Amino acid sequence: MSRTERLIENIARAWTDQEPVDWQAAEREGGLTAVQLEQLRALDEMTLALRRVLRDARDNGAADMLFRWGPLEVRRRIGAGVQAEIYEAWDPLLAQAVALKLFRGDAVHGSSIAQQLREVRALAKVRHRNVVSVFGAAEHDGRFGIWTELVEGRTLEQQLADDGPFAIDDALAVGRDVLRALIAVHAQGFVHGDVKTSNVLRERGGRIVLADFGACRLHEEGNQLASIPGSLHYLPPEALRGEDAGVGGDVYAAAVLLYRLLGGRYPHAGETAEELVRAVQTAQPQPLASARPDVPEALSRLLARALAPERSARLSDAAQLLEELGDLARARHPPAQSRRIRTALVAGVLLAAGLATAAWFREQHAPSAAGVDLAFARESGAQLETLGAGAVLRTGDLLGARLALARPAFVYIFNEDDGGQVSVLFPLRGLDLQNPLPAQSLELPGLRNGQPYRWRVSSASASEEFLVVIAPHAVSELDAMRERAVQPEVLPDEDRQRGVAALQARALALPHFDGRGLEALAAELSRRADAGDLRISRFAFRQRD
Amino acid sequence: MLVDIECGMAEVLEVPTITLLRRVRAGDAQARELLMRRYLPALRRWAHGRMPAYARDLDDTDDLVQVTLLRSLQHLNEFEAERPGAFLAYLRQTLLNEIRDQLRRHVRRPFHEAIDEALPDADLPTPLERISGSERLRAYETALAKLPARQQELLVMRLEFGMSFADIAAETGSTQGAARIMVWRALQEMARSVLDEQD
Repeated sequence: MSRTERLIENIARAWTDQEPVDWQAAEREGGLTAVQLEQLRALDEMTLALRRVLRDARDNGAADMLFRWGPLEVRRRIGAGVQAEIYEAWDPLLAQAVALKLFRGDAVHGSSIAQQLREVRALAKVRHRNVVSVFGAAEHDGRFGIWTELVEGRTLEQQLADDGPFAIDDALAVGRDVLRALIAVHAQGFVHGDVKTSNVLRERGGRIVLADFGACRLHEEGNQLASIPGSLHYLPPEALRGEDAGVGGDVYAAAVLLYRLLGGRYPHAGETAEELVRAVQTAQPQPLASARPDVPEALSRLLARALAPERSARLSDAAQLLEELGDLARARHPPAQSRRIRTALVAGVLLAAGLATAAWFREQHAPSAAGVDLAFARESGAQLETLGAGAVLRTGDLLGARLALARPAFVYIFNEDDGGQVSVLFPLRGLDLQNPLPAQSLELPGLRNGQPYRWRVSSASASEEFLVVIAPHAVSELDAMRERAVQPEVLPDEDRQRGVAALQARALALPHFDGRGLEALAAELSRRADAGDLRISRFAFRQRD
Repeated sequence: MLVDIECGMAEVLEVPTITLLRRVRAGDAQARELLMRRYLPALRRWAHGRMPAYARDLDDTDDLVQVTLLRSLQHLNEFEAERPGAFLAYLRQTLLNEIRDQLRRHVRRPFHEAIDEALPDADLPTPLERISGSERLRAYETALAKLPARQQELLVMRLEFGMSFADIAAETGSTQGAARIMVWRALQEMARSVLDEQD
């Protein structure tokens, strides 16, 4: 081989492997004239230029766009189903990556698009840490799509396939998070409609997120479904008959999901769809213990009840199943004794004293009720943690208030969410603490049968506002309001041992404050003749991060 | 959010281009969509360096690339080669012609538009020309055009689209090692062609 050929081979090899050409060696080697070397150098520079523009285009990023859909730059397909495809997209307005579910052209039509748009827009109001955040919905280029936060992690189905059935504690925790998500969705009047392991994600970091609201719909009593949404294994018998299972269908599906996480299989088996449908409609689920002997008997019984063929035999709603699972979880890891909680609360009140003037609540009027310390707190395990500046509430949170009074006082607490719904939180019938409250450290809302009760944040809302009025005497208008108001429902404790019972606050209709809310109420109180005696405090918390 | 993968990227990557081309010719819309997904990002990156400054707005590039690709897929009968790996080079040439067309149209703009300060000069080089110089680019393209079609395709994939040997192997239906050797030989051929020009 000639020196020239050898040189050409070496230079071409460097180009092939995108390595630098050793031009000094090439010159030393000889065999090429200076002009020839210059020509090859020019070609070398050309290969470098080609690489450089490609790198620039990659850095530019947008060149990776598959196509544009409305405001979104669609970058990568991450999944597909029968009705829709899922893409990773870039939202330039939000300046963040989002997940786009793009329905196939024939999946959603005309009036159905309008309905989907209306429902998804409403759904975007659901804000909960266990619910994927919906950013928007629209129709572009003849295709309907929903875009949501992009959750990086695995679906429970993928985790099941990779790692096998879940540990019992993990499954219980996941199941409870899924139910918390459903409570938030149901509170907005929606049915998810397709709860299953492949629609629940575990984000890196552990957060459980209910996703895919493609089958979601507003729940209206008496709906007859034209078609059956959801996956066959997760549908209750009534849905298989074409009836609307309502929120109960989601609760049933959550129970199937939990059964599957624990047992690695579905509750009912069938070689064909017909066999499966027959089994679901007529038979009790296969005993979970046969697939998973270490599952506690109480959990097996609970899931059998949640999956009973007769609708009436099942649990009434997601909150009930959540409560039951919570009891089971607590039974596996009993919390500290009630006495210790009380001790912690007393200590907490002392710690909270310094927070009373912190900026996270707005003191509207606090002249004469000196010696009052008040802080809201959230139950966290066996502890109560004070909600400080920037605290974020989540649906399902159990809240209390710590109050230390230097003298007896009448206390009224109201809550308003960002939808303008007002609830009365204190005083509550059926609990031991009633006005006037004694001059001591207290934990609100109080005890029943010796057990501390909490307020449960039962609906998702961007913010929650609390109005606390502390007065040396009864405030007749507030008492009258309280009497008119629907009291929070005290969930039955059925003689069972509970660490904490919960109050499901219901919306309080305030006819004369309609549309004006707590701010108007506070303003009105501050105009009273005895306003100087009242301590009026407003607390605002964000909900969800 | 979610993810219920039933026919994800695996399908996009696994079906050979040549099979998809046959399916597109038979009127398969899904195959056309898969080909669009396969080539669009690479063509966009490629076009980024070739678009003149006045048309380098992202939307313009995207539109041109997308329209060209769509048109190419609608007129597949004009693309005769059944050899694996030829399609990308065909798309690249079609797109290059389209860009040159655009440039010519721009040069023919009426005078009153040409003096509009908002309109950049059509003579401004493309990013590639700015880095390489127009003369080198012309020399490269001349040398490339002299190579046999197969070698042109290989060099376009490696040099212009920055494809890995694994990707080239998948596109041409060969192995990575074979793809590397083929690219190496094509580059030797190109070097010889440049030197022959001097003789």
